[in-house]
Amino acid sequence: MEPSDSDELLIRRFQQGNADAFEILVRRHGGRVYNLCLRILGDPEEAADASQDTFVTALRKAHTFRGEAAFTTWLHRVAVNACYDSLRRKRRRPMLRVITDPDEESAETRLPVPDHAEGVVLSIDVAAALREIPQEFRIALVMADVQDLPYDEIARVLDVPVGTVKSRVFRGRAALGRALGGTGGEPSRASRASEEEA
Amino acid sequence: MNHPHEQLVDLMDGTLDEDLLAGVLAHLETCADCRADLEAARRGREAARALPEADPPADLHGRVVAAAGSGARGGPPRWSRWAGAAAAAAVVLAIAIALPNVGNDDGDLRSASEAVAGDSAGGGAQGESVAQPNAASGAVRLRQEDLDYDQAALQDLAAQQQRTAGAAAAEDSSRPATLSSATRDAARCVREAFDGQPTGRLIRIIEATFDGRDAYIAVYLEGPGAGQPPDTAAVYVASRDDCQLLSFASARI
Repeated sequence: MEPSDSDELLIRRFQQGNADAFEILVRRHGGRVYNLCLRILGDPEEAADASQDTFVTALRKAHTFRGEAAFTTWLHRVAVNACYDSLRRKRRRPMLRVITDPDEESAETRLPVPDHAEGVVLSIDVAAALREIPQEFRIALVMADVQDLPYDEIARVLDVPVGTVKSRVFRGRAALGRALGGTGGEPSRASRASEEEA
Repeated sequence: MNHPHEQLVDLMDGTLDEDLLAGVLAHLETCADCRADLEAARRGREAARALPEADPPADLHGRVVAAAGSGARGGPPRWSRWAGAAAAAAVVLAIAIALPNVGNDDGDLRSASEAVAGDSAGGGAQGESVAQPNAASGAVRLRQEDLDYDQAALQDLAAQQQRTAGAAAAEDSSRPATLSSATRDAARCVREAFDGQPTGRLIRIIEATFDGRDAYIAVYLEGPGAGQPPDTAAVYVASRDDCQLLSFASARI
């Protein structure tokens, strides 16, 4: 088994009982999966947990991979689902906190204030602004512009038409641009829109 | 007014069909919203593309393996038939048989390995040995043990069934066991952790800890199907608090 073996060959080897093949897949795709989760979830710890969940699910569901889609498409789909799960859990948590300790809740859910003294001002601002974008748009935007995935690939991952992907990417970009400030006037349709489709 | 977001993305990317270009530009002339969106979208795209790539956790693979338990060993989904499992079980079985009879003092805090070895050596002589009485009555009782299992103890538990499962299999391998509600809940938790994988006959279920975590440990007799008798004892371990997969072991019977 060579580190240069294709994903599809490695997953087949894993299906046949070779644990090393899965380790190569984790090392090969861990960075992409983690960065996808990080930009969708906006929190390194949650991203690490979601990445872990992604590969655990991939490991448990490896037998369902039939090679009809590219392994990366399949893995991205698993990762996006792990992010959705994490976002759902996050939505539930503040509600519980309101009941038990309202003061703590307001502190917990506040967005971190960007530290302009640091040299990474821009990326902190962008990461914080990303979190303000409706999640459907954010996921499409991250896959297109952070992960550089083609639109038709994103469409296969999300199981939606390519036109829907492009529309979400545009709205995501516009919403991010506005969240970052600068010129551009009042919020328009794209940034006001909720998660409804075009 | 319909706003051509799809085409605006193509315009940004320089891939807009020439036939559509004039129409989109005409729309932009008259639609202030789209002009503002396009300007914001250009800033947004630039910012997103400039985000630095972060390093994943250095121990990601280790975390995955730890979280997946023995599932990380690879092989087909049939948990009990992964490559090497039978060979490993045979070695464990030899060890288990070689262990002396150390008695079976329930209530004392023992290591799970000792307890399992004791049960194994004691066979069905004591009432606490579950498989034979269960096979006769069809009932499985959730048994609470003050024990902390580890992987070796699981292997022992699987191998132990070799002595007692024969009678259970011969008695009636197809008849479903009668379960109490606590047992049913525990079995459901284990099935959930393993995506419904346990499909054989539940012969034993234990509430204990595994590597320090509160766990349900379920022992199933599994066969190849098609009316064939069970040929494998499979031990599934799930966390009690959130029904997550913790570990697995199996032995041929």
